[in-house]
Amino acid sequence: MADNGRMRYFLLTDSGRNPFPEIGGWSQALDIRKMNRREYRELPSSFQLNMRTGMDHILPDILVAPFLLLSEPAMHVVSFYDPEIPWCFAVLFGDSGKECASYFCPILEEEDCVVKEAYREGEIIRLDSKKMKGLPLFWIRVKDRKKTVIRMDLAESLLMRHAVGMELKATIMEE
Amino acid sequence: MRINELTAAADCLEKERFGSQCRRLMQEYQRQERREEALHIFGGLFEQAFVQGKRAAWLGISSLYTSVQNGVFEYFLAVYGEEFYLDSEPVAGFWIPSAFQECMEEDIRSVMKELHSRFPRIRQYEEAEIYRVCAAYYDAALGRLCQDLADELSETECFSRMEKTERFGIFFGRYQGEGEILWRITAG
Repeated sequence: MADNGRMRYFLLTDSGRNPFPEIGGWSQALDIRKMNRREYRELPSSFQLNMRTGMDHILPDILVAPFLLLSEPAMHVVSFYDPEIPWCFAVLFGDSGKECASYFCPILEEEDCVVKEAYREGEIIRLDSKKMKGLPLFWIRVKDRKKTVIRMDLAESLLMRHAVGMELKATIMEE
Repeated sequence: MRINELTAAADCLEKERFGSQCRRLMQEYQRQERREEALHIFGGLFEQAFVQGKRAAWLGISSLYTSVQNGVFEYFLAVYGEEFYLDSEPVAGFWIPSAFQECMEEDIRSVMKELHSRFPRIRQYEEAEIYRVCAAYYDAALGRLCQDLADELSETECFSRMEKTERFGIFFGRYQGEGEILWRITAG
């Protein structure tokens, strides 16, 4: 069957089924309440975080928790789609002190486009297309929690480059 | 690297399975009912293009990593104007071809079962790569099916009614990426 509409949007999620590092120490490193377009200049432009890693861990291109962090190649792809996004630089240090990795934290625009009355826990999120600006990557707020939404063309571009760590959950667009 | 071993093993397993699945798909799409179902999907797009007064230059059938990632066999269909990918208003839709989804799901289940017995703790990001390996075979099959349907499609009323450029063509490929031209209007 066919489905009309030419652009889709997905939530970036993490099922926890990957051996990705667990980030710690972020509450001491920065005030995440300021992670928004109005106040991000008050955040340090670079910061250090701790990561807890397992035996068979890998460093993905995309980490969604505790906030969105992208590898340098992924950051370049995103910047190509939206050059206006400001970035903070983050260095992750492993517990052993022998491993470190650099990541980039995008400060995204938050869009008020969630169809709230339709949302119940666990349900597919509905977005109101009339309230959307068409950004390739942005935040929405669902029950006081920030979630990242990615546009299909950017997601395709990252997946074509074998970006690791992209788990997508479909959203429904309402006209 | 384990991911390379996994995808190589997945490729071997899918190659073994795909022959019989491909025969099944060929039988399915020899049935007039299936062909009409597919033609109806494309016809709907052409109809929409006609209503919108679009001067069509290309029909694109594109595979999507975002679908494969979630184990869905869905394609992006778009009628583009002469600007091609730069057309900001293509007439577009999504299509899950009948029988392909079932065949691929069966393959994925079988391939994953076999791989789980050989590789401990297969992770989500590894699963996504395995899905891609399986989907590549079905992409090739769907490309051939679309090529096979192209002549029939060009004889439909919706196609005739739609305004087209002189060299209108149909291609199959990756979303906003490389593709293969399956059919074109020939001069004369």
